[in-house]
Amino acid sequence: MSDPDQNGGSQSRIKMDNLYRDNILDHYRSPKNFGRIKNPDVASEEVNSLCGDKIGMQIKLKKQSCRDGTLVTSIQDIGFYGEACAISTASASMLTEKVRGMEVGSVKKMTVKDILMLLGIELTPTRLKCALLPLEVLQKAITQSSLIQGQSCCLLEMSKVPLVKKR
Amino acid sequence: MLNVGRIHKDFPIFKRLINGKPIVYLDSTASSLKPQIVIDALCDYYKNYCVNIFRGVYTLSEEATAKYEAARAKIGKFIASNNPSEVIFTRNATESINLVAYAWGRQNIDARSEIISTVMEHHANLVTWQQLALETGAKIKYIDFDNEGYLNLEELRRTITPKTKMVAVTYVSNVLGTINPVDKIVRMVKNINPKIVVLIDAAQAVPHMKVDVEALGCDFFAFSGHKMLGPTGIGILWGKYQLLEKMMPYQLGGEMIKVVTLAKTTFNIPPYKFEAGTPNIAGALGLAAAVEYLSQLNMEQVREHEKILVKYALERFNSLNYIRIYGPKDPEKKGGVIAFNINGIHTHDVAQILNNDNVFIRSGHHCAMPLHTRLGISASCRASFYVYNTQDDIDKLIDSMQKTKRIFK
Repeated sequence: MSDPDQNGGSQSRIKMDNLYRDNILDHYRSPKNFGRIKNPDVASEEVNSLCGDKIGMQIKLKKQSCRDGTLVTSIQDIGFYGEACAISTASASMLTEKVRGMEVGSVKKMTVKDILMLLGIELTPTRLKCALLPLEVLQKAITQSSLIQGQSCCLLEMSKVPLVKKR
Repeated sequence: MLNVGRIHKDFPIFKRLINGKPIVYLDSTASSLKPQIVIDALCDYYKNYCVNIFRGVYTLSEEATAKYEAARAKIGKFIASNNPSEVIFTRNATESINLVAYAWGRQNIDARSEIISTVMEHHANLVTWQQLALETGAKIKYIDFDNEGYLNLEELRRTITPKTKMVAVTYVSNVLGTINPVDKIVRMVKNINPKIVVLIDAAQAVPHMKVDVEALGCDFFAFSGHKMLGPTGIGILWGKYQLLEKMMPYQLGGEMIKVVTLAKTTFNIPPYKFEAGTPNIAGALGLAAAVEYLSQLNMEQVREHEKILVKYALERFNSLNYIRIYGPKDPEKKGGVIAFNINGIHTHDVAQILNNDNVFIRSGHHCAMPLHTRLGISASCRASFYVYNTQDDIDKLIDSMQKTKRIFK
């Protein structure tokens, strides 16, 4: 058996040293794509049951035909709203920046790896849930897109979440 | 005054250094640390008489049975119960409350009934009754608390009707720290209608203060072992014998029967009727050891110690202008728990940065979402104190909070 102090200790130190580095805090203080958008095609909201954080996303889709005649859907505009911690907010900010213009199929394939790469930090399992909440919301929205196109799927109760983040 | 230096030596976890630094544990409201005497009790069982209870006539089983029953009596005495048959071993306070909701609730609650709970409850004492009401068609009403975190007793009085069957209320709030006047509440309810059953969620009371179930006059009293220096997976439901006797079993199987034929079963008497299957024997013995330890410290001293810590913490918190504290500000009416927010910083981020200094607090909704909604917030930070905490721990907490504020400036 290994010594828990050696393991847990040094591991959490590595993670902590860069967790709140400037680019994470910058995205938290002035998040990109924060706010609701006009005439969204799809939307989704999700809660982190551990802390009660809420994130909602609204997406405007664009259909284009490729040279070979196939029709692809991509993300034309995206906005997020809600109330969340620095990690979750920074993750949403970076993610929405990244997926703007991306084809929906590729967004569906994004995983935890992509999020960690965007954030550039390591996370403990509990905080990983914070970081992954925005991706979960985004993928839920675009997966449901065939079913609810043109409608809003906002959960009524959660739509009360203020547009302006509490500071 | 408790001798915290000596107490520290009883808890092996304090020998642990993380990143070369000692730990500052401020989350005993979630679960307490465990003294060596409790760990020894578990080991003693598994090493020396790790056999099943009740069924065996051989020495080891007799030994284990005697210790298990002695544990029940000792834990009962700790809450001033003089009848061990009223002390039921469960997994935790949550299971104790669920037991009542199933075994008593399904016999006594119907579409014409009303249940009263409060907005400050832990989900264990709220979701349970909410779901029972949904299932049976009963009406559930919640008593609000005021801006200082005190329950509105007049509202309770007004809310009771001839249809009220159950009042389920917490002794001490696990977020606000409010020590509810449960004796007054029980008296008020019973004066209006002695048939109304009162359940007290005492998960945050039994570990921290002297309690007396007989004097209180409630019908059910639930608490957990792991919050009072005991092991996880063991808890207690205390109930009045006359009620327990009439109740249906909660789970079916071994030990809870008298006679079984293929056609029918006669059930055992309380408490065995509610302890189907092999129980958590080691857990019961561990909890008895915890009770022994706490009794030696003296529960009045434990309460005094926490009062001093809360008073000191409130003073230090009040000196910071960026902190918002929730719940009573009077240490006489507040248990050893302080819920707060640092303006503009998310609770997870606060707890994460404090963790870097080995200051362990809780962040989130603490299984009390309606309470947080009532406060107009989605989450809070929570620091809680127990027998092993010192003013120095609070100083470290404050230092770390100031560091957090600097990082998020």
